[in-house]
Amino acid sequence: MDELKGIVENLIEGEADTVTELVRTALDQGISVERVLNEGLIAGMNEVGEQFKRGDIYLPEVLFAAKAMKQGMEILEPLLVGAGVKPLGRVILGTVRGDVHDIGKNLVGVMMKGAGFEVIDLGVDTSPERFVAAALEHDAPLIGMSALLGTTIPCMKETVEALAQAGLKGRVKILIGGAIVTQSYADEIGADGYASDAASAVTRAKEILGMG
Amino acid sequence: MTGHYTGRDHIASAFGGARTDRIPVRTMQSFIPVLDRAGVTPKEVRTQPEKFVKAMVTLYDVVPQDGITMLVGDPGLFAELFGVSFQELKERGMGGLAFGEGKRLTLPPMPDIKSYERLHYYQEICNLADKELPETTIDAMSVSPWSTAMMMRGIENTIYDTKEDPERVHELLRFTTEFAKLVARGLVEANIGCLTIADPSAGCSVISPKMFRKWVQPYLQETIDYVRQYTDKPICLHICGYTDPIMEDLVSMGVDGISIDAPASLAKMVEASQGKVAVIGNFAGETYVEGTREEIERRVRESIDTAAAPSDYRYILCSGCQVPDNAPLENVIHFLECGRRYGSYSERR
Repeated sequence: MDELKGIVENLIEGEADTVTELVRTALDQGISVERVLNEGLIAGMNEVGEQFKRGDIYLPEVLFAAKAMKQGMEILEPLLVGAGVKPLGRVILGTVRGDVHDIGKNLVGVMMKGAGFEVIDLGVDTSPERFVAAALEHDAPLIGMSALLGTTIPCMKETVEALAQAGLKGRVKILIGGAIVTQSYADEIGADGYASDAASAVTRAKEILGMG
Repeated sequence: MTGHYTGRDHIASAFGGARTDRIPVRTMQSFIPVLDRAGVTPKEVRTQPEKFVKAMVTLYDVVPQDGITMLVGDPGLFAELFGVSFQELKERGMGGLAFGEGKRLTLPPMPDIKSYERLHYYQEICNLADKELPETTIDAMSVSPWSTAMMMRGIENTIYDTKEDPERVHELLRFTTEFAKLVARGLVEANIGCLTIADPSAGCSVISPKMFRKWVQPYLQETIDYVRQYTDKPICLHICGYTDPIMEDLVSMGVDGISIDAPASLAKMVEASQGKVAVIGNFAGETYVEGTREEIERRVRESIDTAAAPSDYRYILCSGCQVPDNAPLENVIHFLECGRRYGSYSERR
């Protein structure tokens, strides 16, 4: 399965066009969509995550790989739906109200998708009400919130409280992260978990959802 | 040198001036936590230099320190550059301002130093602060080519462009270098004691060391060399995040001080500095927010032990980056007091 190996290698190198080409070739050769996803894109993204955690590569390499992953997923997604492949779980992501920093949140989204989650991305400047509405609308078991600023971090607490008021406490787990966020802050506001980077966000999400 | 030392004396000693009786201690902090106490509104500080300085003086009165940073690299500078209002800029954000739809580069004309009103606004702030705070070093924070480019184009887009459209990035960087030179020159012409060029997106938390050397360093060097022609005042660099892999590169750039953030290793920075530059930093923001008095004291001691004597006292104990606005002020005061106490040469003898 040279194509699958090629997808992994080129995804790690961030060669998006080559990954796209290899995904098409693999499908044309009759390799199943699940295998292209699991043994190609997800395997490649997992390796990128590991290298990033070890400090062997830096954010740009992750972004280039993420873009390659995204292009590959654009081909696979309709086929996955057609084949009835279920996502690992559904996660809602957003940067909190008043905060427009999204690079970390976007990386978490890519890593989550890479791990097989369906991601509903609410974007930046997301109010507690929008988080609650999205959790209800999409029946999502997990919300991931990001904040970079000292002035916006209190919105995480407001969102936790808003979810509780909506009767979602316990039903919807909460994972938080961002430059200024700490584990002790997560404990203080009653979030279910904290992740210091995009790769560990996936691990924590699985743990929180009992998939670890 | 004997007798009463001012904050300016202490800071000067770290840049190779006469030795005082302790290491310098300061933070990078905005006046946001004291605006109410100063009786000044956010709109007033954006539009009235004397109100800006009133807020800074109030901050200094509450948390007196050896140097105080005029955090001038604000969106106001860019609003005027792009001919939009401050409010409009806040609503639209910086990303995409430099580029219209599609790939065409639509940069604004470079402002003239003589008619650039927002720059004059900050020059006036520095001049007023110099008069109002004669004992503390007025440090003006300027902009850098790379981080300005990233603000204009967006972090992710800029990173993608380096691979997919490198000439576009160079074109943008040539523009932002001219802009950084203009702002830096304008600020050193004001009554400041020190210029800090902030490059928040140039560290290895955002880009790789390879990217730093290719995309950041040449343009930053050009800016430093340019502003050197206009001043003998100390020029410092501040880079946010993790910088360990590029510390030797930073030292090679010929600045007087390097300000590192909490994720970077203070010990490595001292080693890399080889006594050629002052090392500034790198107290963690979360310790101001969450640290107990004992923890703050312990970490101050650790910083001073790591950097003061090993750098031959070319060290300024400082926050790694901007003190978070939600940090209790009593924690900042305690940090400064501990720094003055443990940084005293008689204490350390």
